[in-house]
Amino acid sequence: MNQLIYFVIIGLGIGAVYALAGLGVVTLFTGSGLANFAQGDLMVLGALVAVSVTSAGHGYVAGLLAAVAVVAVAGVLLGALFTLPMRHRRMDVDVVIIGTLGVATTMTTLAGIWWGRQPQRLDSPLAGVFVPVGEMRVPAHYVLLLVGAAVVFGLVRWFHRRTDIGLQLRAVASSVPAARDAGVRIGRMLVVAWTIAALVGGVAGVLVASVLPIAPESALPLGVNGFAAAIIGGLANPAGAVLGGLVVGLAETLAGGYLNDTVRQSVAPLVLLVVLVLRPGGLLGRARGARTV
Amino acid sequence: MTTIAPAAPARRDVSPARHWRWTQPGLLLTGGALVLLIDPGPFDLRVITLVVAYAVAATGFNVLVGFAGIVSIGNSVFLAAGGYAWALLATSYGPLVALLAGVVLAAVIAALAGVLLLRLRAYYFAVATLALGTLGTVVVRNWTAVTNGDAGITNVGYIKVFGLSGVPSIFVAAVVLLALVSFLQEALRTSPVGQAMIIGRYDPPAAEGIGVSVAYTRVVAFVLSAVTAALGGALIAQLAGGAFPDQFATTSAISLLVIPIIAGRGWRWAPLVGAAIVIALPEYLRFLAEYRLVVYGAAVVLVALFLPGGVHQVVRAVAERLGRSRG
Amino acid sequence: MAERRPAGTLVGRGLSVSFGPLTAVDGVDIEIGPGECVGVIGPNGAGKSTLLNLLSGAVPADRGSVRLLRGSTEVRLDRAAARVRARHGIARLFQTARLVPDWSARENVELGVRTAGPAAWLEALGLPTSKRRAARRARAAEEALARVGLVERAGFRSAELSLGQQRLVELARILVADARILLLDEPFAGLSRSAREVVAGLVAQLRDEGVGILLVEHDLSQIRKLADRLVVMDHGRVLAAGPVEETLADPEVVKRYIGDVELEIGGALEEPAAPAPQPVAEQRSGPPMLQVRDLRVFYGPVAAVDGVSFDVAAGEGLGLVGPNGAGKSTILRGVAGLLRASGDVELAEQPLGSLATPDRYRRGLAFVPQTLTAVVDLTVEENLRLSWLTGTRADRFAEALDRVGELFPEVLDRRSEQAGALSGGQRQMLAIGRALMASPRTVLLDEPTAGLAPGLVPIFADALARLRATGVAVVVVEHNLGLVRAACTHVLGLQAGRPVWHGPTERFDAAVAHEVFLGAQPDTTQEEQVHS
Repeated sequence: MNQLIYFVIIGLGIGAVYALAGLGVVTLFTGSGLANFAQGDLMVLGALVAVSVTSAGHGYVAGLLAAVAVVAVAGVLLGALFTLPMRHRRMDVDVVIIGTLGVATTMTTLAGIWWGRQPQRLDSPLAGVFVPVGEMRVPAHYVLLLVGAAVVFGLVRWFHRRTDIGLQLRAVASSVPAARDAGVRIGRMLVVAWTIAALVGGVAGVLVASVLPIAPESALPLGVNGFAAAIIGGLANPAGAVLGGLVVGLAETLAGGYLNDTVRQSVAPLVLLVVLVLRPGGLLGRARGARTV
Repeated sequence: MTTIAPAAPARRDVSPARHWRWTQPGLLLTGGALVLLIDPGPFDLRVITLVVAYAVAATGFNVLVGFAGIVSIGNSVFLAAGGYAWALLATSYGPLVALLAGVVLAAVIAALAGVLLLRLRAYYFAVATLALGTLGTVVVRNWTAVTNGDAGITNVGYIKVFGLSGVPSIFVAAVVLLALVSFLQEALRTSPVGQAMIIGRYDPPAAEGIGVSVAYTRVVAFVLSAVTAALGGALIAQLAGGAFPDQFATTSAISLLVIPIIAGRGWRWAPLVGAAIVIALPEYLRFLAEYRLVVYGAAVVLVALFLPGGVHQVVRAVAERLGRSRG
Repeated sequence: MAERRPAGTLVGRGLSVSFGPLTAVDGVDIEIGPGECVGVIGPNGAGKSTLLNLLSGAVPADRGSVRLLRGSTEVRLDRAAARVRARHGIARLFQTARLVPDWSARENVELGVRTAGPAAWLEALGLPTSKRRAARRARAAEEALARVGLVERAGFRSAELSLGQQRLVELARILVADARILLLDEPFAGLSRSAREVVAGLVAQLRDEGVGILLVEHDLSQIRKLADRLVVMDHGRVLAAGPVEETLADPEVVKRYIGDVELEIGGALEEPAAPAPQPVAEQRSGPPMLQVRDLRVFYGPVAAVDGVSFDVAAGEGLGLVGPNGAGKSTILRGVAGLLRASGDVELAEQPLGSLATPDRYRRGLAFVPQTLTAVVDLTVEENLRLSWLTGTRADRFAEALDRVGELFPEVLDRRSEQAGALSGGQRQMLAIGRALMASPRTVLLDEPTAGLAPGLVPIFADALARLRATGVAVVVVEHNLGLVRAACTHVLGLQAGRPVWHGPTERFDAAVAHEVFLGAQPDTTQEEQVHS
């Protein structure tokens, strides 16, 4: 029983990371209609910047702030890059996919050149702190992950619900033509959406780096799991991304804990495929979402 | 009636639909013979053969993304099906059985996955195929009884044609296969099946309105992409001297996806031109050392964003310019 | 009972479909016999296109049946997908041409030739016999193109063809498919006079050959020419049906459509739906608030707006009227910067140049679109705030909100509900409310009363008058002449993108209206040019 609770806490912590990865994907998708396959790389970027700053002796908070700043700049740049051609035409799905995959290749390689390919772990003040669960002790980090994810989710939600820029973002998300008719500056909102997605990814990267060692090549699995989380939830639904992330994280941890590593690796894709076959629009997506194209 | 079509200029046919079907296969075979005559040396020949192998694999993908407008990031599964079928069967049952087995295996997986997943919207389908590819890699790595896990299967032999041996033999086989699939690609495009794919991608409601089953054409396109991927996978395994999980991982699926798009979706030369860019270019960018993948990635981004028609767009623009200055 | 009708009749019974809270088609019965042309008219949003979608299978019906009679038997098509119905000979022409732009006209027509199963596959494999089959298909396509008079254009990319030619290519595709039932959605919209004649001739020919035709059309002269029977729709229901002239004279139709010039020009002007207009700013004091000079907007090669100029002073109202396709909405979108336009637009004597839409709004322009009037996923208040944000912000949000509340209290009562939950009338009130939030100096409105119950029209006329009273210049595109007369000081009549009449509202009488709406349309010569 205690073991189960232990695995559940660990699983929820890992799930929180996937939830944040998925939240980044969803934020961008609702804001701009783009699916970003480089979301994992933004997480890695945040993580590695934080590792560099912290290991230079500046402390965890400085690392987090530096990561946020760098990732925000990356988000603005990517946003500008991807918004430019959209002024004149709608981008096809395949173009978006290979465009963001190209960004992913570039960022992964650059990160490898700058930081090396070795996995690195982020030192944090919580290192060595454990939360007792019966006879077992859960690293406090997993709790931090959950709290951090909740805070980020809350902030993003607050921004969308309570600010004027958030209002315009939601207008764009609901309908680009209607928002354009209403005078919303679509291009600017797209850049904002990219920036928020990048920020969410960067913070998620910093949070996860204390638990899992992060290498440039971690971007792909992180991104894939984030996508799994987002798609399971329904791609256009932030709460769905959180639900999807927690489902994937829990399933993975339980499968790894009670079965074996092979099953653990297959869980995320399997859950994704099963959900999509049964509910083509995702768990919280619209039921009629199964139209082609 | 003349009011609608006043004094038409001389009749012309802008549509490239009626190429003579043997032009492309003929050019490919001639080009292949020339390469053998020039004898470019072992490294270059290996690279060129890999390019042709990927071109074979990407031909079906060109149909998938160019005709039917479907994006899959999981076609590494079909490469693996072809590669492992070759590795397991070629030495004991001969090349034909090995190739066919790979093709059938890939087609069956594609048909099942297609029926289940092709009703998904674009991004959902892309991510679902990504999951399929990931799952395929996990199976290949862990089903050691059949695939020998990470160590892979070595000593898989290769196809011997025209009394050649070694890489030249694989090269010739690859060129012949490419000529064949290119012929089929062109035949498909001008046939009702291919036309149904294109209209189904361009305008699904209109396609249904003229009696086309869009769902059916989509599954067919997906199966075709699996078939050529299996052929390509078998060639890649022969060239590498074995089947290994890393050959058929997500990166290869991404390469397959980038090939037709960077060269121009649906263009009949897209598989070869795209494979040359995606496979050969990084090999010859080695002087950039660690930055070559940065250059490659940035090039992909820029083409995707600012040149959505790929190389074909450039070729067409140049051809038009030439045509105008001439006449 | 089915036996009394001739074989080949398409029968729809009790067809209904809802999209969310909106019932688009509500229990419609319709029959199309072989060799018969049934016209369908009704205001925008009456459900005409949706009815067509229900018959073609593009949209599944919530209730009702669709049957194709075959002598003593019948084929039930209720659950059949569009492609199955297409194979039963039911063809559908979309409002905009649906051709593959990179293909030649002939290839697009070839698509209509059905090559089924194994034969198609043999051809896909490039087997020798395929050449003959392909040649036969090409010949059929050329014959069909010859019938629509386009054989000379067979090799042209369809993107290079004019709108009219594209529509003819689609008709040729239907010819090779040998359709028995033809569903046409405004086949004449946007066509030049000569193209209209060709299309009309072809439709008449097909009808005489025994094809059953359903013709959804705004252009009454074509309906009179082609239709054997007429169905008038309104709010998803059949308002009246029967022989064409009788139905048009039906007092119920005339009564419900007072002011709707598309139906009865005369009635509209003899019985105004609202009190006569009282121009607020009788004296043309000061400079124009909005000045438009030589505005041109192109859709591809076609000039949708071709040299339009007008002035509107503060407190004035200008009504843009004219038949469908005259370019009225396009003018508004061009002025708002939502479409690329050439010509000069000045707002309060400041040239707008090539400013983007948000910058125009910031300078005091407001635009009320016809559809998508609200962001449906946002609440009413959020929609209002969005418009306040993007407007001039001359007042504080609360003040602007109060102003809307004064005019449309029932909208503000539902401020925390989603805009999508509002009724049609409330949505339109919200749309105008949003224009008010921006504290604009000029408001452009695109058919504010489209699809509304006639009883609501005076409310909007009153709202526009009050708007003008505050010194706002108003430009309104409107089909309902009653509203135009009640709310506008001036009228600009348009045909095919060009101004044909301009003057004060008092002088816009029945004769002028008749001329604007039913007069000979100028030929658009540009359209016939082939652009490469």
